[in-house]
Amino acid sequence: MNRSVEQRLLDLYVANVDIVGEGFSVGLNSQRREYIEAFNLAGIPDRKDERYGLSDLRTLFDSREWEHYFTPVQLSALGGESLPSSRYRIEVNNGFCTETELCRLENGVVYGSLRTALQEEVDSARLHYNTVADNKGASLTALNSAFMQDGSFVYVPEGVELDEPILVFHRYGAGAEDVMGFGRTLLVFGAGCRARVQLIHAGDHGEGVDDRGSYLADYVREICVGEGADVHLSEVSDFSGNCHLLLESYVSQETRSRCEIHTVDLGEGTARLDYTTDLTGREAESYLYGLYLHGERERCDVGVTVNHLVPECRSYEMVKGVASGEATGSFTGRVYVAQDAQHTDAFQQSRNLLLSPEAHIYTRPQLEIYADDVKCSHGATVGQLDAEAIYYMRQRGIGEDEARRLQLHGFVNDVISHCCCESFCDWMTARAERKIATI
Amino acid sequence: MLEIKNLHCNVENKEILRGINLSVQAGEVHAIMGPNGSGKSTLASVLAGNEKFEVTQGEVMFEGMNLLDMSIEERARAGLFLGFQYPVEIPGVSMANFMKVAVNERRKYLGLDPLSSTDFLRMMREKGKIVELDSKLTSRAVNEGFSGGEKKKNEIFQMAMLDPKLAILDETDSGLDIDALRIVATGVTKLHRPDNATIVITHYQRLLDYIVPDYVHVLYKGRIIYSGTKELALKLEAEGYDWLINQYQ
Ligand SMILES: Nc1ncnc2c1ncn2[C@@H]1O[C@H](COP(=O)(O)OP(=O)(O)O)[C@@H](O)[C@H]1O
Ligand SMILES: [Mg+2]
Repeated sequence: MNRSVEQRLLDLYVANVDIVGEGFSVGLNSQRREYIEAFNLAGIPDRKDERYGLSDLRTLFDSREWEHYFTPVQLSALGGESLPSSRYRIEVNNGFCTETELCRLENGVVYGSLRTALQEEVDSARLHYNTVADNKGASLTALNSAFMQDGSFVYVPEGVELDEPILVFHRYGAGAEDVMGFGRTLLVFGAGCRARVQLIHAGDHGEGVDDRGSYLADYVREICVGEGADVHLSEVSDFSGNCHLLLESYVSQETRSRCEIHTVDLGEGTARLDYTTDLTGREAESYLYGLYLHGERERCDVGVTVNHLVPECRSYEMVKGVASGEATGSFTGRVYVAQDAQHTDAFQQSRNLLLSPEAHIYTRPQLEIYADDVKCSHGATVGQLDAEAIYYMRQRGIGEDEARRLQLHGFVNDVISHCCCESFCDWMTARAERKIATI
Repeated sequence: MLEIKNLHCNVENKEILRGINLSVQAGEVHAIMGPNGSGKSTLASVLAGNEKFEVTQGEVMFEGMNLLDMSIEERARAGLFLGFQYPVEIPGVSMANFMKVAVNERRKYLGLDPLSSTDFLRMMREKGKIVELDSKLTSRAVNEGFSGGEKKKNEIFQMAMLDPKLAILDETDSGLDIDALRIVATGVTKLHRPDNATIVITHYQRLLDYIVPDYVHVLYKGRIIYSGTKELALKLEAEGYDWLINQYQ
């Protein structure tokens, strides 16, 4: 008998429960059992699940015999990949932080391995861990929480203004085998602090490209934004075609906090990116700018949920997609406004460009509003490059390809040009330009 | 500079241009007038190379080259400029970026090196003055949120930047108030030189008060039915086209 994916993962967990829990507190470990059961009960999300209806995860999980390593594996050296420069930096390979020691700055900022943080940092790490992630409704999150062994951690104390961004660099690689792994990030921002974080998800760009196996990353991120804190995150996923990234990002924002996220997916594989934000304190503001650029048979599914739980918050999401070749993109948006969340100001837009007849884009923005005095709007557009604009540019002497490129650049520019710092913008723009040239 | 011989063209199998002959020499200004729907914009589009229009007969030589064999961008690089009747908005593409690529393509054609950023910005400032273009506009996206008048000024600004051999200005005067008309028209006049030429397509005599044409042509149902000097424009203004059309039929 073939075991189901769920059964295989459950068996894997049971067989390795000691090694998974090694070094963690009894309390944390005792919860893993609940998580793996929650996962097993809900199963891999399939098309019946409204939030995942547009992406077929079961097929992905079923497509291979995914191996899982419980210890860090050495990844090959980066092959000429330049990274944006950064003073503060965390490197995570297949979910394991490359440094076990935490970095502690004079101003109280702590960053580094999540595993170490959960052992040493009770107030900042342990008290916040798994308070924002949805381990009940989201089975992949529960699965991640059961298997979590390490990841990245950032803590910015109350009132601290972090002078430079912290870069979290995730690499996923498999060697010759097909590997599944779990990545985890916990970002804790104290009241009134100001901070920027850059996150990069990249593949194993080393040698032996052809005989590499596939990598499936189940990555969960929790972000706790304290009262009046101002946080800016920029994220890029850019990996080769053998990588599949399932990302679940959870943000919880307190009163008068501000959180802005820029996320760009250029990866050649498939990506499922889910962003959930809970606005739990009044006058909190949440901004999300998303972009994916895909060609060939690449795929990206973006899910955005914003929960307005209290009055007077503001949320804004602009997600842009470009699909050419036989690529597929989808957007599932949901803005929830609770009954007493009066004076909510919510805006959600999905804008898309289809560059070829074989490409597909699906969009499903939704509003669910229980308060009566709110300002909410949402919408979706799917269009093509503007032939008139291309003609206009060509009439000025600009070649057809260049005109196309300029127009695509114009379409994506507002997402990539406002990310958290200039050098990162330049780096991201260069990557996006490179991708545009291929689609 | 430009030699059009027996040019015919179709749109959606309908013949719109029915045998155009026109010769333009360096240093000349030609005005093309005529009632709505007579084919003026079509002629401009065919010369620019718009692929919607199918040339069925005829020949066009531009600076000794067979224009109809050239792509849209090749024509532009060789110095043919079309001032659009309805300039297109290009969201997200900044004027500076757009113009920089365009200017450098033209320079490449002329065998010149690309401009440095400082030289380019200086050029933008200088040429902007010709049409009193608000410098804020050049930092915005191409034509996005520009008023009707600003769009037309922007066309002439681009003409100044690209320094074409032949500029075809399609109803650059329409929708302009008196001040904007004066600015646009004097801009065009300033750009006129003995080694370039201009074709102005217009409805009204008022533009020709500023830009004095050497020849005035009347286009009607896809043919030039009459050519004359600038006095013709005055007569058309006073008496309309009927007398000419009657005479033609
Ligand atoms: N894209 C097009 N599709 C169909 N018919 C067109 C198109 N462009 C122009 N025409 C037709 O060609 C004729 C000439 O139009 P046009 O050149 O715009 O005239 P003018 O500029 O002199 O007012 C008109 O009958 C118009 O309906
Ligand atoms: Mg016209």
